[in-house]
Amino acid sequence: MEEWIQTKDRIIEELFALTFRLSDEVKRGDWEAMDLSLQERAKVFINLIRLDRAHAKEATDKDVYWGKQLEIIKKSGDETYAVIRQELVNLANEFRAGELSRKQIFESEMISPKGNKIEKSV
Amino acid sequence: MSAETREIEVNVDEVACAFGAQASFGDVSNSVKSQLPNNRVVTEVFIDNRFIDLEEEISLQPILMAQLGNVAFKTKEIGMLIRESLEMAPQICAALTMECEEIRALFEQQTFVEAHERVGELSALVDWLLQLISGMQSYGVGDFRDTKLNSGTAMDSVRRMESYLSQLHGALVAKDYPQFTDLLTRDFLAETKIWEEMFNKARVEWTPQKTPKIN
Repeated sequence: MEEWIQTKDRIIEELFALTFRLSDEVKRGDWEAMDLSLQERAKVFINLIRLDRAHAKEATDKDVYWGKQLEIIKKSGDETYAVIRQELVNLANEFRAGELSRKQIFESEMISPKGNKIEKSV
Repeated sequence: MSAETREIEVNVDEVACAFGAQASFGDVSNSVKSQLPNNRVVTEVFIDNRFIDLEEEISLQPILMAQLGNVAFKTKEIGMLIRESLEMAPQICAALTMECEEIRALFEQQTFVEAHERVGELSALVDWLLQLISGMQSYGVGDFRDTKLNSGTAMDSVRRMESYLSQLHGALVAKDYPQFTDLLTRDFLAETKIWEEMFNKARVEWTPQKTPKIN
């Protein structure tokens, strides 16, 4: 299997783990934790945008979809919005500086295999 | 009037507000957001009547207002935003039901890349619904989680969904796709139908508070 597909699978797993975590936080009524999960989720969406663009070498329909998910999350709160803004600034800077390479994506710390952050909370 | 002292009008919900022409879009955007009451959020930004998406909004942050066209912000009261979302939520649940069957077909056909993408989309939709539940809980009168449904309370349903999502995640990570699709098209799908009932009920019964609850 191609490396980028494996990476994408890992990100989707992480996304799914965050959905599971979010449902647990809703169940517990822990809104503070939920805000943090949404911030993490925003980062995962940015990673998906990053990966899709790096693979296609341009904006794709798919990353527009992830962008729309960010629009939804941004309405959650100022702090979450600040995280999204910072991530998008980072993304724009990477593209501008031409530093974005597949290697960097695969080595990115944010893409944690099997969502290790999630496993702690299970 | 010199360029330094010139003022530029920005529309916030059709109300004209003056800002210095030397202010950046980011300054104005932050100022608008900070002056909104707690129960309102900026939902859309337009430049010359064109919708600006989040990425463009970020890229415009350092640009001076004098270099932009007519900028307009639209805001929404959170209760209203939740009400609008509630109109859409039952449709999202119905879409999820179809999504489950389609994902199963994709896994069965071994088209894994598309199947995973669809799982990501499904996850995003469930997330949106979870955000809506938390919004209803935070901004609603009474405890939404106590809402009575045909199969217990809304809280019971959220608990069951959490359990299914946990099992689904386990199957996905283990790459046990038959187990994943089985759970998806049986338990998860059945719960999605209960959520459809829950959101249809909330669409009629949910009432926003005047001021948000402090948790």
